[in-house]
Amino acid sequence: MNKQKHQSKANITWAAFIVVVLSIIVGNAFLALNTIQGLTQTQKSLDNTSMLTTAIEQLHLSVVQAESGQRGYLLTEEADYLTPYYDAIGQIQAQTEHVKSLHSEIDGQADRIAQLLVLVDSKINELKKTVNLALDDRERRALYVLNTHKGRDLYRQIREHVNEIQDRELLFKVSHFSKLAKIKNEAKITFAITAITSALLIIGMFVMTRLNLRNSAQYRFELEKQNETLATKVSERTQELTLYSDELSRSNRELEEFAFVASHDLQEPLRKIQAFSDRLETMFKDELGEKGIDYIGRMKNAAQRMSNLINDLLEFSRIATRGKDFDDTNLNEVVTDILSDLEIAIDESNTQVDVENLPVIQADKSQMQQLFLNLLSNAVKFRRPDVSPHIKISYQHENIFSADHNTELSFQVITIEDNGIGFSQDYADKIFVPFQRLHGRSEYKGTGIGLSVCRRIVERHGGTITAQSKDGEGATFTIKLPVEAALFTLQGEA
Amino acid sequence: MPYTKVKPITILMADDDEDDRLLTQDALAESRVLNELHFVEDGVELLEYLERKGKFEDKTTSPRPGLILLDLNMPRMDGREALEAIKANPNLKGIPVVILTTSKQEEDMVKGYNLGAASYITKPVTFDGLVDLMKTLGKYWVEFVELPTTFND
Repeated sequence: MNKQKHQSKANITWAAFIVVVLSIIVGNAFLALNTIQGLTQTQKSLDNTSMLTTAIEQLHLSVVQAESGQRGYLLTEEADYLTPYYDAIGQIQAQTEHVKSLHSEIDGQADRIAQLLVLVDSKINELKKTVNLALDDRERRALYVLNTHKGRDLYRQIREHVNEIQDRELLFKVSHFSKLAKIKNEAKITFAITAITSALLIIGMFVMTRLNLRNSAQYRFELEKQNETLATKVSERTQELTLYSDELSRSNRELEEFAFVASHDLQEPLRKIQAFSDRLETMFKDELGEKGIDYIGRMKNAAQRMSNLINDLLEFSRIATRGKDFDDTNLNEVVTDILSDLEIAIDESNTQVDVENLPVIQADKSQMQQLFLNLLSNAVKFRRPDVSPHIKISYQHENIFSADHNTELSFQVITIEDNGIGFSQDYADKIFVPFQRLHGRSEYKGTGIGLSVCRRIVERHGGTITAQSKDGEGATFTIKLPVEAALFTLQGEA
Repeated sequence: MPYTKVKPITILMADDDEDDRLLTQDALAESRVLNELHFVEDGVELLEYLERKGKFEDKTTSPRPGLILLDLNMPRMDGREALEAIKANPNLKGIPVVILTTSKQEEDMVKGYNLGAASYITKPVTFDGLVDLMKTLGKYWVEFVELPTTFND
């Protein structure tokens, strides 16, 4: 539980750390990108304004050149002056297109440029008009046109426009240069921030790694401590179990001693009762009379029965204390032996026995013999008077999930089915209790120990035995023995 | 009485149970085995008798037995210990010992024979059985078995 809490805490720390790292990287990248974008944008603006300035200047120059050519020609009437005039006129068209293709980023500049272009156009028209008049030899009129100062005014306006446009572009350029410087500074700061955050990140990672190492070392230490505690607990528990086990074998020994006392010391007085009854019977037969002899006979019978009970009790108590170690036991052999022991009873009662192929199991062979002897002799003994007994011994292998052992366990399941008198299912448990009988002694002989011996044997092998029956309709005994008997038994408890 | 087998051997029975002693006495009489039957009540008395100590000093009232009937479960010293002591004594180990007990336990039998018992017999339940046993024992140990002449001194 504690460990899990630690784990989730560590997970949260790590997640937070990753988020911080990622946001720092993203932030840095964003800053750098922003700076680069700013730089590019400013550079582009600067290039644009330079190009515009140059184009306007060139247009201005061409106008000046055209005008000076026009003036020279008008004054001298020498065609030489027209060469620069024509050059300029030719260039102005292209230059105007060039200026039109450029866009200033300054508010109102586009209008001014448009006005300038209109002015330039007017100027060119005026120039062309005068030059054409002059070429037609109408110089006077040309000079008149010139002398109207229209051309001068136009040029003045052009220069003013050019100057204003250029001034504004210059201002724009200056402001952008300062912006460039600012961005440069910002880039420096960004670099510094990136450097610092990277350094912090590296330091943070180092610290986290150190912390993690220290934590894992601590966990390991705690784990070792817990392991030690566990080992101590296990050894304590083992000691306890050993104590219980010792106690158990002690009580088993006591039981054995009790059984010995029961067999010897209780049998002794019974033997005397029987022996002195004999003496009475033989020595005082005449004096006792018929009734006296009958009483003595009953006394001897009772003593004999008690002697049988004591012997059965002794046998019952010895299943656990005198059991042998488990060994490979072929149940086919066991059943064959028992059937040959019961041969006379089987033949006399005309019993049919069907036996399936049985497994080889880990068991105490003599106890398995006892088990099958008791069950099979019962099946013959409790037969229906008018029906010859039919006994079926079948076997199957079953896998059952055991919650106690948290694993699937294999069981050998052996069923012994008869067609005898059966019993009411209400007695299915009672019949396994020592000395429990369902019939009078005159009907069926026996002390009633047989099935309790069976149950004790099966339980010693870690299994269970159950009975299913209906009054008058035969009985089925089911023996379930675990394949891994050692899991269920305390071997060598005797 | 050397050179003759006419005088029957003395039988010594070690048993703490008074009823059994009485029944054995009766059974012996019934079986017409005319041997002398002497009794001791536990292992200590048995060894005292054999070594002629205390009340068993007199050779005529306590003759050396030719056969010992030994019960296993007795107070003070039980039959197993007594048997061990007899077989460890070179002067006594020649006397045949028949264990006569109520115990049917395998280990008692094994131990009895290992300690040198001549036979191991479970006490018969009925008196008739006891009479039969006495007859058979008398026939076997008194009539058929040859024992050294110096034996019954």
